[in-house]
Amino acid sequence: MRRLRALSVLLVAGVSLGGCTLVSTSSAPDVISHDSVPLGLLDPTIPFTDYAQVHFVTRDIFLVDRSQQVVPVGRLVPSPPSPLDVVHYVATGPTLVEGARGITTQIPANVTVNQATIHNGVALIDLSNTLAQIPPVGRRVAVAQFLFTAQALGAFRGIQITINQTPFALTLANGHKVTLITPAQLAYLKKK
Amino acid sequence: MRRRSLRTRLFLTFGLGTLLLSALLGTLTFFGVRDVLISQAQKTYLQQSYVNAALIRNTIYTAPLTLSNEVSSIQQSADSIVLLNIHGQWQTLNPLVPFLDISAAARNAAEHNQVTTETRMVQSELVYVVGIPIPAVQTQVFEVWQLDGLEHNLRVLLLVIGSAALFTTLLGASGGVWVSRRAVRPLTVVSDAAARIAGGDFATRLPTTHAGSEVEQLTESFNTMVNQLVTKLERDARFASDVSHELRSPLTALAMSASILEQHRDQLDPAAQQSLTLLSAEIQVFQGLIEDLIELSRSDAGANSLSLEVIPIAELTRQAVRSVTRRLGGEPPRVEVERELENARVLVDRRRFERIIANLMDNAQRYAGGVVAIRLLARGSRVELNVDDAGPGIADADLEHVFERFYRGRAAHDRSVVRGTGLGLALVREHVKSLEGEIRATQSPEGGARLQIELPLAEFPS
Repeated sequence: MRRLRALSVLLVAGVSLGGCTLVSTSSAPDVISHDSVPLGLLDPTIPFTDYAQVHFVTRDIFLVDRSQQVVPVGRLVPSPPSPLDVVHYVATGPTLVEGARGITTQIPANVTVNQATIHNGVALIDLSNTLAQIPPVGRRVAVAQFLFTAQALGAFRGIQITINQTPFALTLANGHKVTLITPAQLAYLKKK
Repeated sequence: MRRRSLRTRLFLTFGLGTLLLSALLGTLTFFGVRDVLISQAQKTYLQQSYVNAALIRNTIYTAPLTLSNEVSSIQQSADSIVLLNIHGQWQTLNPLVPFLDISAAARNAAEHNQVTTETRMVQSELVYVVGIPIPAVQTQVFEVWQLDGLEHNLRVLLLVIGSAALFTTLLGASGGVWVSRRAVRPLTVVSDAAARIAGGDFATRLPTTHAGSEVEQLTESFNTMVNQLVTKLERDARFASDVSHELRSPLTALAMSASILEQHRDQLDPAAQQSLTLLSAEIQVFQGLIEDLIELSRSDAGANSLSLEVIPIAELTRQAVRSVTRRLGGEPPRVEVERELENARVLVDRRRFERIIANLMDNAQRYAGGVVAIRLLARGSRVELNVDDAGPGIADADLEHVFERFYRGRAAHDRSVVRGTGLGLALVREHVKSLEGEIRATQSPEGGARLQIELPLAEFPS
């Protein structure tokens, strides 16, 4: 009888223990040998290219803080960074972490960047949708986001925005309409 | 320590054996299947992670702006979570799995261009993490696979195997019950037959069965043994009977001669008179012995016919006591009869019953100072007849032997007691048995021995 009881206890204990750790966890990661890794993933260059590599650099883009002023935040972009890659991140907006810190954007979610180039210190940015849906004050903040991001990339003279190749004119706070927007015109929106 | 019965042991052996076997098989099956399932899942996840990492690499190279979409697409199709460490910065579309949940060892290995796999608990979820560094794009991909589905499948498997083991154990135990019944049945039959033979039913034989050669062999051996035993007993009884009969005639002649000498005792000198006294006494004992032996032989041979009649037990007992007392002399013992037995009747052979009372009173007179009381007590459908003597009682060691033939116990060494044949109580037992009664020897509460007879009642007036 005592043996039967001991056996039952062992069985229950075994089942209970087995139930706890059906799939055992690793005490340390298992390393897979280089030879077993397929698709050239560990190669220093990208396979089937002329020894191509992608390096990343950090560039500033400008988003909006709680005081409705534009502030710089870093973005990783492939090196050398193209204006399109960087300006694209302006349209993408803040990350979840940045959003949790109160960083926002005035650029509508349906606006994407078709093209972005810099010539003679002027950035030419073609957008997919109009900014007219934004109220005038917010519209100037949205343009300031593109303006100061482009300025950081070398567009020191300003930007010209087109909507699907149609020129866009921004109404400044003094009521003037401009197509070439300079950093000086919106400097008051940039956080010191 | 008390040993368990054969049936219990067979049942336990089958039950425990099946339990152990099913537990062993279940354990081996479970761990075997578990290892295969885990191994297959991990292999599949690793291969898929390689493919996903190559996709991410190509996306970063060809269209870095679509990386988020690509990662999102991978996560949706593979049902995994992808964490990217690009140029030292962590990127994830799922804030619920912070990069900190990737172990430091895995991150360190990725920094040294080593692919790692790891099974670990993340936020109480079991996950499989594949870390793949892609140096060509300065990126480390960590793909986190949920193992909850696998864990669930394993629990179901464990439940199924456990249930199967339990069912098998119950089945085994049931088999044990069945086998033990079948195995023990012949033994029970043999045991019952042996008990009947020990009780004097020498006609008992085991029935021939077809329960297997071993049982058939046992049956044959048992029946042969009983036949030989019966033959020997009959031969012995016949021998004793023949000897007794052969001795009776010369003994009768001797007794007659002694009787004639008794008639001329006065003419003998004192020494011859003393010799005659001794001779007469010995002849009397010898005659008694021969008579008892002949009666026992007839009883053993079943030659004693019964003349049964329904008689009031109280009256029969009183008559027998009076008759024996007249022969023995002295005061008759008390006969106490319960009131309800006054008119109760038994089916007995009168001669045998009187012989029972006579032998018991003779025995008490010879060895224990006579009978003190004879009591008749009602015991349900039976009557209990207690004969209490005035002696010192029977030693406990002798109680179960006093009905054996020629067993004399303490009296064998006591030269003061009158010599008997040693067959009186054996004859009593034979007579009681022939009347379907039982006899036992116990101690009387009054200090002497008590010989207790139980007989079935034929009629019990209400």
